Amino acid sequence: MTHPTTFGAGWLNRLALAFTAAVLLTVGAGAALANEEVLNLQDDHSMWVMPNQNYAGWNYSELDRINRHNVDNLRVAWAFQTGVLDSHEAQPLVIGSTMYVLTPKPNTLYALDLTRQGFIKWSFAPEMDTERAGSLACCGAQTRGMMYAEGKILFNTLDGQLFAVNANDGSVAWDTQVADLDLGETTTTNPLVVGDNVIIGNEGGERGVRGWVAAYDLNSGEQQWKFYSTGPNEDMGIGERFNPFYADDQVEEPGVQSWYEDSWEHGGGTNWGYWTYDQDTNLFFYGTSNCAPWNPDYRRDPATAPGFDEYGNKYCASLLARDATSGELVWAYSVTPQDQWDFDEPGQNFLVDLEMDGEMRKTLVKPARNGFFYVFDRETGEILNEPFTYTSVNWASSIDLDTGRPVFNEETIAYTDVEIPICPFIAGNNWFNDAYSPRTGLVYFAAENRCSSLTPIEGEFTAGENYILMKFGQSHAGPGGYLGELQAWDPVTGEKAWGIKTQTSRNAFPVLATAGDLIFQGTDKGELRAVDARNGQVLWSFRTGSNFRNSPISYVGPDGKQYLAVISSQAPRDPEIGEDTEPEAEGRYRRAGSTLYVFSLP
Amino acid sequence: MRFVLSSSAFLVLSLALVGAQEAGEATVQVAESESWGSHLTNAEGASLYLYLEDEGLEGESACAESCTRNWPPLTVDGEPVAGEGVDAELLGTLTRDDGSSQVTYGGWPLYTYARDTEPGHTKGQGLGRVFFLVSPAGEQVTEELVQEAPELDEEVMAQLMTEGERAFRNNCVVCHGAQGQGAIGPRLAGNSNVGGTAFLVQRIIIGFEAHGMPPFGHLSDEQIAAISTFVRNSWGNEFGAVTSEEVSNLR
Repeated sequence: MTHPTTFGAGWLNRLALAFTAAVLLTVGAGAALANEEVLNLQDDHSMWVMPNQNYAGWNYSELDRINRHNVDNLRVAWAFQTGVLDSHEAQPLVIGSTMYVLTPKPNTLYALDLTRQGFIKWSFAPEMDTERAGSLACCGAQTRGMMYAEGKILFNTLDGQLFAVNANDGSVAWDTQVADLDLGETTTTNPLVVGDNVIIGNEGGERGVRGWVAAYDLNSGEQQWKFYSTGPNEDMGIGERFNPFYADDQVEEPGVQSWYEDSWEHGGGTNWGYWTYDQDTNLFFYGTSNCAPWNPDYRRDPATAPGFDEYGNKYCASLLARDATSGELVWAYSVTPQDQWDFDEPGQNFLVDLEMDGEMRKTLVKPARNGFFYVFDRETGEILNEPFTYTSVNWASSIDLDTGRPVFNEETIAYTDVEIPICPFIAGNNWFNDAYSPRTGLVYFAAENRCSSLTPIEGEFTAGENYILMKFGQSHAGPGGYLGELQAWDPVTGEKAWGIKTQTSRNAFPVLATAGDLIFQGTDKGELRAVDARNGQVLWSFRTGSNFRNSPISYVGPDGKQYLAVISSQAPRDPEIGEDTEPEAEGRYRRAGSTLYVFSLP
Repeated sequence: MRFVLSSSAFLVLSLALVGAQEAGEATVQVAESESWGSHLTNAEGASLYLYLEDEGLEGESACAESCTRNWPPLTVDGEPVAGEGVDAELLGTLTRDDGSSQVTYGGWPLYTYARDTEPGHTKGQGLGRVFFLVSPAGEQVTEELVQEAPELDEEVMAQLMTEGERAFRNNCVVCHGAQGQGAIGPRLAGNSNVGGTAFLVQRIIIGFEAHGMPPFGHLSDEQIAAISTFVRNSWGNEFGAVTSEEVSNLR
């Protein structure tokens, strides 16, 4: 065992321990720019300081008291009702003996005392325009997380306010309006704190907003910089440091010349998923949302359509690497050039050092929403593997490693008023937390296997209104007849270690990995289950009767025991169950709910 | 069937059509579209388009190479023949770089669109704000004809509203609120999106999964028409009725 397994009684002791470990880990790393406190805390696995546990996005806990030998003894220690009947997509945080829970709109932040089974220390419910934000924001209008740094909890309300709340008493340190609701912008992503920068982005790709990222000062809330995903170089933070790997990106003004006329002004590329950050290079990484509108005929020249070489629509549905201090764009890659199928790329982009072709490389691992599994060099943006498909994919056959471009399938290229078949439908692997275990070397994620049809339609852009311009057909299971699969992949060899298929609904359940060689994930039958990380054997399950829209976290309680916490939740969309309902209908297993469960060994 | 025909195949087809119908020899004809009115087609009824980038190019076409795959030029052997309603005075030709003869009308080189796969298709209309159908007068067609909504008598409308309110209460209020004020789902009161018949009906039938809305395709055409009508004409909305025939056509 190379990871800490002994813990002091007080969290200060643990902090000190972790600090020592962190210093050892970061020697020579040139980490002066990162937030030292957060760096220390992410290495203390008794706590949970940010979504996905660490800057590298592993969603992995080094705790192993709960492991594959004893997990069948896991039981509920206590529970907490949030009272908001909606999808909870923000993982709780644990700092010291306090757990922080952020509900969906209307957003309320709770501080729960872990020494007293979740006794509420304080709660903070900011004033917000829930009705308006809820009607603007896409996809259930959710809030995907918060982050702790220097005594503050940072989070966005759905209506575009950024809050820094003092973690000890819930008082507001500062707040600022960051998104413009009149443009259709909202905020759903979690903030990323690096050094004194609180980095966030906007949401609104379905309303033709222009995506951006911005940094606010951790101490004052003053805006430090703001850069767009599309448009002139100056707006995008493209300067001398911009050095993308592929020729398609080595052009004078990619954010303008890869768009038809002025279509970049409403081109999407928003930021609603997870961030990762690499302290060695001081780069942060993120995937941008869909291109807007979905109908690509508004973003390319109809004479030369599809014209992928000319109209790649940079940088929506793309992977971007920016300097975390200055915000400058350092490299970028169009994961799905001219995205015609709503393949945003909001997943968390694992940062892992891997031996590729016999050489240790600093990589970024991305099981992309478009159905391909990529391994990039995170310093340059070069693709290091032969990207392979992990689910049904019909829009491209492979990725050309010379150009970095997908080899497109003519049959699935979208044109106005032409219906096309598409797999995967919307996402092969959506934003839900993926996990990486350094013990098994495997990447774990919820793959979806759904196909449908899309028909682009015409329409006008109006600020703040829907700007999708796409009809879609009924989705159905892709080849193989299953709807989803929990998958375990070796990113080095490209081999699948194991998979567990889901049949009654798509697999949209976030994943946690632990050093107990366990994978925790919700199921299509309303259970939380523990799976052997090495072989996919199901070892334990507990039925909550609702859904799972954030992965569990794990932490060490004030009593020194390892705990597992997860919010089981679903918005009310409960179908009636009658005599003629299918025996395995998902509604028999899952209903609306919103309960935080905390599990431990006896 | 594709409209991109080699000139010899075109000739064979033309000859065949002469046998079948007398007007078959016309190179350019006029068709009526419900949405766009009178516009030019080729001999087989495929819509013809002009390309604004051709403006001012005397005797040349700006559409070359990859463009001709999307927009095959209308070519002719010999002189183009005007069909009924086509002004023969406006017909002409230009010589393309490959030596073929492209038909022009009012000076505009004419193109078909590769994704118009049946007569009556006008999928290329307005694309990129540079390709347009051509009127018999030789001008670009830009005005979409307003479709008159069918007049429903008051009794039918009242019935749709009553049934719609009931069905809305049973299926929609949880997410959209009893007054259409929105909650988990978007606000419907004052929401101009519900004015789009196809958009609204399709959202009900197929759902909007990416936005958290489940499908309600199991409801009957009548129920969906009633819900749509209720939503479009309540809480200050005034977007008119939706009939079950319209719903049926959108399935």
